[in-house]
Amino acid sequence: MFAGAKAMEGSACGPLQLMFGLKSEVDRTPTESDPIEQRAITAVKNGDSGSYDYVVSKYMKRVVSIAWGIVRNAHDAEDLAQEAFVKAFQTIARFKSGEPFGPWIYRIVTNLALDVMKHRQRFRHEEIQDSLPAARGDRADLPAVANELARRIDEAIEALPEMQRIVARLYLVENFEHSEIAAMTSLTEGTVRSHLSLARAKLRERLADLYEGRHD
Amino acid sequence: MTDERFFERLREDAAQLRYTPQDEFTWTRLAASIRSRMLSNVTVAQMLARWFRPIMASFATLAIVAALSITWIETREPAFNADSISANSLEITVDGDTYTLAE
Repeated sequence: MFAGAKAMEGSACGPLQLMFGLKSEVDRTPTESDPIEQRAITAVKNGDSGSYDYVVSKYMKRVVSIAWGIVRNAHDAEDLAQEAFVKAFQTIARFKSGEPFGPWIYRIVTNLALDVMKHRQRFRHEEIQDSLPAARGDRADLPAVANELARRIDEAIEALPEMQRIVARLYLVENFEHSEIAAMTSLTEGTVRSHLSLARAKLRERLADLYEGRHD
Repeated sequence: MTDERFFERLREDAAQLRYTPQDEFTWTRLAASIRSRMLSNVTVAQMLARWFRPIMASFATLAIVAALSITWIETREPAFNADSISANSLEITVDGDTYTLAE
């Protein structure tokens, strides 16, 4: 399938990890220099589309996860990931050689996912309000929650207002830093910090019973 | 617990909420879809990169080979020097007088 797939699997999960699973350590954002990636991108720029497989397989899981965190629908997340990779491929000439590909594809997929959310909001406003507000995502697509703690955290994050939810998810779940989130969402770093501060206060209140008694 | 410590702990715990389907078929299917969409949506720039670059490279190679060949042939031609003049005397006739050009 993908060339060098084993070598590049840097941020993926182990075979025993479940969705919403058991792995506790946090993966870092793969922005470190990767010579194989640089060569692959140079080859793609020179017309070798086959070399794009390496990039796709390296970033696919993270891209799908980012998209899913925003749109909360597996089918939409997969579509968005595909669209993001195709868009990145079509505009690869604009990509600056030597830069890590990760931040670029993350920004593309985040923007696409935010567009989907805007479209959903517009659609909801246009609906006749004769029913309960539409759910944020398709609840049937939510993966099985492995434990109570994860379920509570997920519910608390999902209860946040839209941008707080998205920023909090990128920071808490996807482990991005403020500057990275700012670049991905086109917000200023100050706005990201502000969203996170508000989210933190609400999450602390909602999860007080889980965290206030813990001293470890 | 401070706000910062709470958020650090929450971040550690929230990492397990990352969405990672374990079904390898999902990733294979997605990769195949991307590949097929890439091939069906080739941009003009990529078309140029794919077809015209090799063609232009071939023309450039031919031009270089031709230039080198001409240069080589020119360097191989005998020079018109004093030795060749002395070996082949030249006669010029003007108004019935014949002049011979030789060493």
